[in-house]
Amino acid sequence: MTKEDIQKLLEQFPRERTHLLPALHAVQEELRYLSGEALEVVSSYLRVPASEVHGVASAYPELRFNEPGHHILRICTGLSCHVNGGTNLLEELRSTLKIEPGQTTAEGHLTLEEVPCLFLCAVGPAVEWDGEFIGRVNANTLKSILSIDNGKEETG
Amino acid sequence: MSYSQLKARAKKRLSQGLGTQYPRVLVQVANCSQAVGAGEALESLRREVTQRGLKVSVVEAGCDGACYQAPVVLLQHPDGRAFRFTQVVPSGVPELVQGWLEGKPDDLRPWNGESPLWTMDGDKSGFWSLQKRLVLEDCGQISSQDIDEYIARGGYASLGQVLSSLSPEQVIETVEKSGLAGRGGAYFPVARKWQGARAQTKTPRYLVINAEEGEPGIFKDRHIMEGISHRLIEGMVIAAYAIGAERGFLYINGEAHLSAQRMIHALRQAEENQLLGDNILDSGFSFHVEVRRGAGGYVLGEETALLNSIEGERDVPRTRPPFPVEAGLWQQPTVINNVETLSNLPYILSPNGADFASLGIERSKGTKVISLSGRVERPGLVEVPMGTTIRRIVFDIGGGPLPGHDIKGVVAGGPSGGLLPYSQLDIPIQSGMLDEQGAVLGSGGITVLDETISTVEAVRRLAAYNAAESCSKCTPCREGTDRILHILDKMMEGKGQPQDLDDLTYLAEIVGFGSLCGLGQMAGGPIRSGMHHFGDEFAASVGVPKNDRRA
Amino acid sequence: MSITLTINTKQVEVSQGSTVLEAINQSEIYIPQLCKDPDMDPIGACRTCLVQIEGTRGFPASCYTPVREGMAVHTDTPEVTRIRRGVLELTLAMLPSEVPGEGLADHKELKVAAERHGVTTPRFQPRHRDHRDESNPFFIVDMADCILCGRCVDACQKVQQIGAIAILGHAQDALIGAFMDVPIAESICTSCGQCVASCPTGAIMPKLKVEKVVKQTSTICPYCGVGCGIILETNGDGKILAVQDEPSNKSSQGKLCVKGRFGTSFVDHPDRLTTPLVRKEGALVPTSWEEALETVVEGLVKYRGSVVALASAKATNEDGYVMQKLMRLAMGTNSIDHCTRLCHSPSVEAMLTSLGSGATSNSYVDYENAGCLMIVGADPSSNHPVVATRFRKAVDEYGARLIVVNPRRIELCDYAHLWLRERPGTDVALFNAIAKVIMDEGLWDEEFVRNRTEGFDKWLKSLAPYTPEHAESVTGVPAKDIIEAAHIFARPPHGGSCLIWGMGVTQHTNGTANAHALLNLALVTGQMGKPGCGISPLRGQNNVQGCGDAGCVPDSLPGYQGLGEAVRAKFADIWGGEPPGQKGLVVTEMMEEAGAGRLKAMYIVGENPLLSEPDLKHAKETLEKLEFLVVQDIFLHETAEIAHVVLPATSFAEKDGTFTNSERRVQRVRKAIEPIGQSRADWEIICDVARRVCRRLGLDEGQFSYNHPSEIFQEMAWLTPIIAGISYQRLDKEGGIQWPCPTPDHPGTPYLYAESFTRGLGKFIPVEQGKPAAELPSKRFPLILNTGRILYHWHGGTMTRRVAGLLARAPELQVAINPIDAEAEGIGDGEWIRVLSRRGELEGKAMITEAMKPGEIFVPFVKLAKSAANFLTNTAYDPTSKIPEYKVCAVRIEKRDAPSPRRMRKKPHQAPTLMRP
Ligand SMILES: Nc1nc2c(c(=O)[nH]1)N[C@H]1C(S)=C(S)[C@@H](COP(=O)(O)OP(=O)(O)OC[C@H]3O[C@@H](n4cnc5c(=O)[nH]c(N)nc54)[C@H](O)[C@@H]3O)O[C@H]1N2
Ligand SMILES: Nc1nc2c(c(=O)[nH]1)N[C@H]1C(S)=C(S)[C@@H](COP(=O)(O)OP(=O)(O)OC[C@H]3O[C@@H](n4cnc5c(=O)[nH]c(N)nc54)[C@H](O)[C@@H]3O)O[C@H]1N2
Ligand SMILES: Cc1cc2nc3c(=O)[nH]c(=O)nc-3n(C[C@H](O)[C@H](O)[C@H](O)COP(=O)(O)O)c2cc1C
Ligand code: SF4
Ligand code: SF4
Ligand code: SF4
Ligand code: SF4
Ligand code: SF4
Ligand code: FES
Ligand code: FES
Ligand SMILES: [Mo]
Repeated sequence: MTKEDIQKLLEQFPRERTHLLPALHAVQEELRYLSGEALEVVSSYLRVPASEVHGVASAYPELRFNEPGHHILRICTGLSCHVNGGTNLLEELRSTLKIEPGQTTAEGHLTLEEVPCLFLCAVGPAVEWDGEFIGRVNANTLKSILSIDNGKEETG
Repeated sequence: MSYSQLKARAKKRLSQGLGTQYPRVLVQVANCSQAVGAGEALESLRREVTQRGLKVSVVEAGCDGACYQAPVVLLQHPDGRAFRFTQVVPSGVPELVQGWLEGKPDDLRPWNGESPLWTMDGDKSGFWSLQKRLVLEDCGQISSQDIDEYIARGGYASLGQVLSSLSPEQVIETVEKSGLAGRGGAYFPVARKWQGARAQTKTPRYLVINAEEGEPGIFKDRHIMEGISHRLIEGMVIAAYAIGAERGFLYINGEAHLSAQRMIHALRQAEENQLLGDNILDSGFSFHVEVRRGAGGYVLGEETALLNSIEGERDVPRTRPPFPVEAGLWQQPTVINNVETLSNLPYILSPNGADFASLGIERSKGTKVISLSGRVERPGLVEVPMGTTIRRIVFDIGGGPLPGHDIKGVVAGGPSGGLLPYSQLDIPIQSGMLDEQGAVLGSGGITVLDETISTVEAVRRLAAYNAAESCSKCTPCREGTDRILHILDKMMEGKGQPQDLDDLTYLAEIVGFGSLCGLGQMAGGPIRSGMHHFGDEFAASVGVPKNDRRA
Repeated sequence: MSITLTINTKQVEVSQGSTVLEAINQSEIYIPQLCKDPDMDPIGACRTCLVQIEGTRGFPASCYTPVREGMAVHTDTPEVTRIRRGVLELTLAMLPSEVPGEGLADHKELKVAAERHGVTTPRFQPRHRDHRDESNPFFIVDMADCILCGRCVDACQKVQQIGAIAILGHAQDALIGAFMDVPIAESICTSCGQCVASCPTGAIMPKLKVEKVVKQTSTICPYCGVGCGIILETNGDGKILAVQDEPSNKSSQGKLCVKGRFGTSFVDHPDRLTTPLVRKEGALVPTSWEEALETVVEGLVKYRGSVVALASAKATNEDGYVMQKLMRLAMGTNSIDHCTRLCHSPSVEAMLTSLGSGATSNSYVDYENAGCLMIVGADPSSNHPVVATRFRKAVDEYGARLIVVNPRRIELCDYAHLWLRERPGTDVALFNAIAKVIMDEGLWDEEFVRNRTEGFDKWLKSLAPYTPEHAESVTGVPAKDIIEAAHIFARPPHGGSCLIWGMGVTQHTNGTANAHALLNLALVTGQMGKPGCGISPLRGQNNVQGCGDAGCVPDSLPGYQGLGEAVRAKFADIWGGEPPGQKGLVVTEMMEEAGAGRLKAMYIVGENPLLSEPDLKHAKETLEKLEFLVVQDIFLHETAEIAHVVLPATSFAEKDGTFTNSERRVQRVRKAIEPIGQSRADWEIICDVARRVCRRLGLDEGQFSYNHPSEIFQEMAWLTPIIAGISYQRLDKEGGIQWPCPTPDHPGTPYLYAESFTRGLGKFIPVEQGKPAAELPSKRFPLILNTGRILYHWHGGTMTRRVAGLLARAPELQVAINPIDAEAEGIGDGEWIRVLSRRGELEGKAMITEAMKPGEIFVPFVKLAKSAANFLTNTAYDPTSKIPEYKVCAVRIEKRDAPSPRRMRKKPHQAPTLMRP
């Protein structure tokens, strides 16, 4: 996406600071993350100093500053999921994928994230796979999720 | 258009649909049921019905709260009978359709039909009978996306009544009498807050609907927005009228996509029906709502952090005073209310509304929607009168422990609450502290723990959450929660020392009393209550033998 | 209304709306307040100001808790002390240098707080935080000492409205940093140091070693016309250690820019002139004051009749006053002028014609109350930085609409609602068109025009050709933007509209016409004489307003009193001799006369024409023709180098006096240190010279016998109605006062023209767009050279090149070029290039930027490494005001290393023959 594209994207918003978070959302939806360049465009479009745009963006856990892997797997280890096995699932993923939460597999294929709640507590353990929520997850569900993509994915 | 005209129109339209002569099937699709296949079940049902050319209307509804049964399919027969299929596996849908819908709608099978692909709920469990549903009434029973269904069942009648015959002051008075207090967790009297805003001469005033719902273990507001969207809209317009706000923000959690989607749809419908926007129901009163989305974080739900977020600032809490009712959004008087709070208003302002105050116990009126999860047989969403004991919620409604396990306690109020041991579960739910040590009702999260769980680990998880979610603004919270976590980490690694217990107590105190906002102020709760009620486990983890503890 | 409450056992009375913390501070009971800057809103982050209040649960933070009548506050109960102590222990635990078992590290306010709470050693192992930034020449930002109180961020965002730094990140990872966490020197940081001043722990700390401050002297910044209050901190040896902002200053309210805060070390730079110099055998050699002064007097007396003087807009009102008195009374001439001629003379000229008085009509505070700010041909972020903070605040916090009119992109464009990017020299067409839209759409203030103005009809007719479309073709500004600007200016969203302008308007051969076009706009919309509107030619030098007020102009006596009979008689009464009635020469005419050999001698105080005049080669030839040149300055600059006598003056820090700033505020300048070397205050030197001249000429030397500048001021006040009510006593007691202040009980005047204009009715003056500039691009010189300023340098750089940090921020001459023009010459960013005009050339580093329009380049006129823009500029001037056309001349650019067929040949330097008395 060029600067001009980002600028275009932002033109849906009036140039007022109140639209900062919506603008960041819009950019992240398109780009999958917030690049420095994109933040600069947001800054000048909304007339908010760039440092503040950065400061605001970095206050929210769901906004990213690095391009994530092709897939994003987020796994909940909140208390309700933990007590029903969520943490064990994370351990398994750690050892199969050989990455830590927050990291991306070598080929930039999959980013693994640990989250404190997906608000599916009553159907935990829960994961989010590329934006889609999945509940009552067990080791088998995880395997099948990862194998959907096995053509490209070398898990391990 | 007047309300009665509106209602007549809705009824007329509905009577022209299939639903009045032929069976109607509702699939309960909501955030979590979607996660266990409700969406697929709906798809395949639609497919089957079309393929077979059946005269059956298929409706997408929200969930009714029996998460343990999700996905749920309801069959409503025109003669009034209804059947409830639970844990419906998408691949079981053809069988379901074939067996139940095709051919002879009069020859329905009796209760207790069983299939490996679905089960039937006869509610022998008590899950339903012990609940009292005001906020969740009709949730899961109607389409939340068809405003006429809500209207036909009397929805928006309270708003019609309010706009046609009550002054804002009278509305506030009614709400005051009801004793309604905020369901976002702080239980501040709603009428008092509204009066505070009305007392300000500055205009414009704003209404902010807090649908951020970012506390782990809570999923009630999503549920309301997904399942009974129009009740919330009716409530917010009543509130806006009472405080004299012409503009509002519905701030929905950034991950609650389904809630946002359904609310946006419902808001549009409400506007089309002149129930929102300009000149509502020809009353001259106008109210416009803008939907905003969050981007994660517990503290974002804190009301002043939310205001900062709307203004395009970091979502850190503000100092108080001034309070939002005096100087909130853009320094204008602003009322912030929770989704559940507002969803109580249609009932309170209905002809039966006076009953509200008779529900519950002294100082805590009405019902509360509880999000029940953890090591329990029937996790889900439960609405009970205030004053119901936790034991009743966990055992009688929630079905008690998982087979073969023993409940050792619950976490009440999540990371901002505390632990209660099995022996203390007879405490009735109410606003304020549930016990001296830190357990609170908060926004109504109850997570059940059994013997498989180390209490120290449970507390550590809550502490880790608080440390990670600290917004960074104030020192005791940012630093103290982190210190607490480090000590607990050390203890979990078996490197704890007796001194650590004193440090934990000290830190919990400093963080609790020193912090700026509720996050830090409540962050000591899990620590204090864990150490108090499960002292043995804590003592053991720092190597102190059981009987030496008090020495 | 006041409120009484008790703090511990003490009763205190505070005003309603105070906070508990303010009450505690007033009661002189100690409580920490690490995140509360006395001049800013509470943040509430540090939690070290917690108290107990009877009847209130918990431990509220006193910094934002409002007082109530009868409140009982406790700061010292064991409970609250315990919590505060715990908070302080957690605060210490953030800082790696705070190690348990060891003593407390030196963290300024934090250390004091910890000690007061009985903490002798940290309780917790500190956490690790490694993030140190030394990139700024003036200060270090080290997260290892940061307690995340947020004060610096508020200082940067809310006080300076810059937003270079913010809190980045979340929870324990939060830190103070610039956008994308780049080193601060690479960010938009302006080095204003507001953050440094606000940091309670020293995490942001000046690089200069801290020594014990013995004395603080409240005075005024010596650089620009904003006139910020500064506090000079000196040690026992009378050396300036640091500068602090002066929160009580009414103009700056505690704000400073980089020059004010970090730019005063020129004062004791080794290059300061410490002895008088006289030219002997071709060379300037040190001499005694006696010899130097006698030489000066000799020359002045000898050339009496063809002597002129340039007064200094850097010096005080008192210095200026005695200088013009010397010229008028002793030398018998009105030929005294100062740099305003090169600066706002067209504005003053136009304002005198249209309104009858030549000053800014409003106050800085009006910018914050205005709904529309139109900033024409000025770059306040660089040149009036502290006023620029008000502009940004108006837009950011109060929703004002900002319109920038400038061919070049300036920082304020980031905040602008509209940016009218006209072709240089076409302001008349632009503003006539704006006025025409306003008239055509009936947006004018008919009542104001009817009651307060004259010349309307004739002016209205003159607008006829200036349709927006026509203006678009002349100026290049889209017609729709012209129309929108007219709408906003005539109908601001709230308050009124302020018209603010600078050198982009004046420094043109059309300068006076430009200024009239602006004034006509203000008149027709009635945007004068009420709060939140007005006209502001932003004054340049620290005391350029005062220098004119004091009478250092050839056509009027102090206080803009004309040279008429009555006024001269009034002066004669006090002076014992009558000032001449004949108008004197303005700077530009002096140069012409000198060039023609008709002028023999010149006395230049605190000005450096050999960097500030256009076409320097020619200027130097001209000045070299003088038979006698006296320069009185603090440095031996280019002009001093060719002088016959050089007199060492003291700087602002070494003398008492007053400066008058751009909002007409007369402010006290106070002596902080003893004169460097043998330097003497300007007024002392001038009076000494004057007394000697008088003696020789048999005049009353008593007219120049003052013991203290206050006596000079008093005399000036007697003779000058606009400042008649001002005295040193009042200035010391009340702070700065805005003239007109006719009587001792008059509070001063925040805005002019409430009832009428100085000349009665405001006058519309029809103006036509002439040729945009005297020298337009040609084939050989295809580009327009625009000259001006940058934040870190002052004019030719005589002072700022001698401040190491300022020079470090801008060590090389940068030539701003549009990418298209750069590409045409194959020039890359950062490459050394040459810029040539018909008159000279310079070398600079290419800065390729979209800020410039194709066909236009910008070079600041500071001299760096021998290069200076004024070697290139054109001497053509505006016929009315005589201002040179600094803003437009034709140039071309080439790579430095390209072979240049037309290199200028340097003439061998010829020293003027030494004058012998
Ligand atoms: N840092 C610093 N501050 C200073 C000074 C300094 O030397 N350094 N000097 C002080 C002095 S004495 C003065 S007078 C002030 C001057 O302050 P300003 O008036 O702000 O100074 P300049 O930078 O000379 O020029 C202003 C702007 O005019 C624009 N301009 C050029 N041509 C045109 C035109 O035809 N029309 C319009 N509308 N704009 C045009 C230029 O692009 C430039 O941005 O600054 C004072 N402050
Ligand atoms: N190309 C180009 N040229 C310009 C301009 C432009 O925009 N472009 N702008 C013009 C303008 S607006 C102006 S105002 C002029 C400014 O031109 P000048 O006034 O010549 O510039 P300064 O360098 O400020 O000169 C002030 C001198 O005063 C000395 N000084 C400082 N304090 C004292 C003191 O207390 N006493 C004495 N005696 N001396 C002191 C300093 O050392 C310095 O030498 O330049 C003009 N020249
Ligand atoms: C850390 C923290 C998180 C909160 N999160 C929420 C939330 O997600 N939703 C909510 O309604 N209130 C939340 N609150 C409570 C709000 O601050 C506020 O009290 C509430 O929205 C007011 O509405 P009510 O009076 O209707 O409950 C939170 C408070 C704190 C301290
Ligand atoms: S909480 Fe609601 S939406 Fe989620 S599964 Fe349970 S019933 Fe369905
Ligand atoms: S208590 Fe925690 S979340 Fe609340 S303001 Fe302080 S740091 Fe932020
Ligand atoms: S020096 Fe000024 S501009 Fe730079 S960070 Fe500090 S306050 Fe901001
Ligand atoms: S750098 Fe200083 S002022 Fe800024 S947050 Fe850290 S301690 Fe506070
Ligand atoms: S704005 Fe001007 S007066 Fe103020 S500190 Fe900067 S240079 Fe000095
Ligand atoms: S704890 Fe995992 S979804 Fe809530
Ligand atoms: S001074 Fe009150 S919280 Fe920092
Ligand atoms: Mo100037």
